[in-house]
Amino acid sequence: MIDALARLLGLKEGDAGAPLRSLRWVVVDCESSGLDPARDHLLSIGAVAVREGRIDLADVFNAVLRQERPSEGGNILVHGIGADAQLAGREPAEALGEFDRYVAGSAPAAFHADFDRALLARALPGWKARWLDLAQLAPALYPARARECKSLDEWLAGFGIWHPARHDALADAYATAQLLLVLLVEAERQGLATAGELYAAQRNRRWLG
Amino acid sequence: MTSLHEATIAALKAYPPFDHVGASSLRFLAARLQLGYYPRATAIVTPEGGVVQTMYIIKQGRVRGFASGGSEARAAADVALGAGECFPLGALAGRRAVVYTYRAEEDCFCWELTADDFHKLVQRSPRFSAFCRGHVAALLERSQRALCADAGETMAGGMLRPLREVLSRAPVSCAPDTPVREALKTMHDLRIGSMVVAEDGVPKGIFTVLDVLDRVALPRADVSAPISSLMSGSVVALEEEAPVVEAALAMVHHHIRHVVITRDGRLTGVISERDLFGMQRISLRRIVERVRIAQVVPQLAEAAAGVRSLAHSLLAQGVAAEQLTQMASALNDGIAQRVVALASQKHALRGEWCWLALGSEGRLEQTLATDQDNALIIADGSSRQVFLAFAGEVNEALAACGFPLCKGEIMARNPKWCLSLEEWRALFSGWIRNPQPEALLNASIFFDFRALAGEARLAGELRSFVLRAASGNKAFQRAMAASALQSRPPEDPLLPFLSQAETLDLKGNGARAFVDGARLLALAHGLAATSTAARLRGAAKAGALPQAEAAAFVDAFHFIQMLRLRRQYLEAKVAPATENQVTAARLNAIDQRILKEAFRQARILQQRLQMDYAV
Repeated sequence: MIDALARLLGLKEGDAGAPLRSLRWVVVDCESSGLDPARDHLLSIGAVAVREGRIDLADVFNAVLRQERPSEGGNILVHGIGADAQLAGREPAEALGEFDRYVAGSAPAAFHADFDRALLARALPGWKARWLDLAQLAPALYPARARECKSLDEWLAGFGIWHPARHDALADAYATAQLLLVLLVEAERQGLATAGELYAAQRNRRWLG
Repeated sequence: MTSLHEATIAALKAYPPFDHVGASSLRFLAARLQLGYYPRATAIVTPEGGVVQTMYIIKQGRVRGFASGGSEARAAADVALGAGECFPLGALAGRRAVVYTYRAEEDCFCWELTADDFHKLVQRSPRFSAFCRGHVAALLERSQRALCADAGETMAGGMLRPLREVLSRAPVSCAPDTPVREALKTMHDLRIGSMVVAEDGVPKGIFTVLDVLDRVALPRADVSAPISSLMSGSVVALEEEAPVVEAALAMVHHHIRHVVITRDGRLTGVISERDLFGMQRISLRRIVERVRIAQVVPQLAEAAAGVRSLAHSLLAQGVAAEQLTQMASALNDGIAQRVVALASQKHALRGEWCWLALGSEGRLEQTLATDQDNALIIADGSSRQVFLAFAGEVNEALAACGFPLCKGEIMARNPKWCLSLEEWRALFSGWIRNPQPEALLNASIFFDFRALAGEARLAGELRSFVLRAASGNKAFQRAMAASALQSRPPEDPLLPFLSQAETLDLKGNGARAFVDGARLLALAHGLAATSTAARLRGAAKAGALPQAEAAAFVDAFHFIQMLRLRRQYLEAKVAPATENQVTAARLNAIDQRILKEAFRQARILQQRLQMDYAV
């Protein structure tokens, strides 16, 4: 009962106190029709699970959501989902339901997590979870590198993570998940043993940043 | 299948064996992979970890495998692994713990497959299974095949030529209603082995001399009957644009000796087993014949050019380095012997003498770009001047045949190397008793001597003497071992390529370790053989090293030799200074992988010498 309540509030203590390795992290990347998560449409979701410090290539999620009207203009160049693909996507309710089951009981993570959280909060109003933001966590763990690295691309390049096709939601989530593998190892090396300590490190960074 | 699986499959396909594993097995693999991260200095799998549970494929980064608790001497056998390489295959296949510790040398991402799925993949994919079984052997075979394909585009001769280019004469055919007697008479008159039976140019059957016995003679067939009643009605025909190798395959496949060649279905010729396998022998025979009857040096120079083009075509056909160098050495021997014979007629040579081939020629390992190294054993010092004049003529004639004069004057025309048996013994025992650097350098050339012309018995006596003297002298062996350890095969041959200007010296850093090591083993164990492979195999027989180890050394040596040959024969206009150099662009992924293994074998051999001779 308390667990369920805590989970609803995104405060599940069991998770926050769990050792880093035992958690199932779900690294999410959303593509949208624009840069305003409060107004623009969710076009696609890519997600990759990380458990025991490993990405499981069989445990991934990918869906392009069908749009009533395809978004137009310049942003297609960014997300790369053409008008035809938008119209041919999956029924949103069904895909979102599947995503809801995919992330259930797991800890979501993203790079600039506020954006993905805002998009998904509109699409899945019932889902509450505490997000790990790698854009905050990475500079907290690697303050020296943070002077050079700001964007996801810069962090990936900094760790030599090769990513063939960025700006496909799944490929971006995969690249971000590889960054999470690096950060989890570094976090353990710095003595951060639980998710709670990770969230704290990221919060401190936010205040400093 | 998600785009992630597709991208993973595409990435894996850049590396052997995954470039040849079937699509369904790759899908099976991609769907079961996990991706792990190992920062620098992390031990990924260790002997203490027990039976191996995971196969690792390096996605990016470098991993080193080393014997735990190993002394510095054992570091020679370390395995350096890079992107695309799998480990620990041996332990997985044997369902045991690893012997080596595998540690990340830099930050690494590895794809991981559980041992269960590894065994399922082995079951599913014969390619993958073969790769795991005979790791290096399988790679060697692939390299050999890739070489054939490469060469096919540039070479004019050989098994990849279209059949139309090898047809020499117009086909002989007859109509189906021709009486058997008449057909046999035509075959006899024209001395041909087969008769194609054709109707309006379309082949309907074939009748060969071998059919005469069991279809005509034994059953006492009616020779006035039409040939169509006795011919083989199923004709194996190939269009004339097909490569020669297809005809060879068809013969093997159908157990036949003749293949009919057509253009748009109409008869243009017949090719026989003899034509095909003669192709190599004809040119070989022609060279041997030319050498045998040569009366003047220019004729021999022509034959020497023939040897070179034959070697080129054999290499392109995928003939292995050992056979190729042996064949080229045998032909070059023939040329040198004829040169010596022609010159000896012009000089009043008194007493017994023996012309010696030294160095790589003595080892039967001549590659193209070898200077002549030779010497003479003469009866006694009093006739030296006559022999020097004779040798001078031979050396010049060999140079005219394309074997450059030795810059260091290690040639029989040099009075230092034109000695009586007594003088040779004194010289050699001096080198063995007092192995100074120069003596060791000389030993490395002279102790590979082989009789080429004259009295082989003299060379035999000198060989027994050297073996006796060297096998009983531990100090000499230790000095040779120390000298053999001076060439250092790079740990990771790909490293020099990281800085672009650098190249890799296949001879100095690769082949030399095996040649020097084999020579030492032969001298120490009294083996008369001079070729590196024969010495290594002989050493194994004598119990000096395990059979399997010797076999691995021989394979590795031959692979390096093949790369050298390929560089010298197949790449036009190689500057002499770079003939033993390779650059990364010249090596495909398989070759890079095998070269790395070959260098590792060289280090293992050196490590053995280091321990056995306490250097």
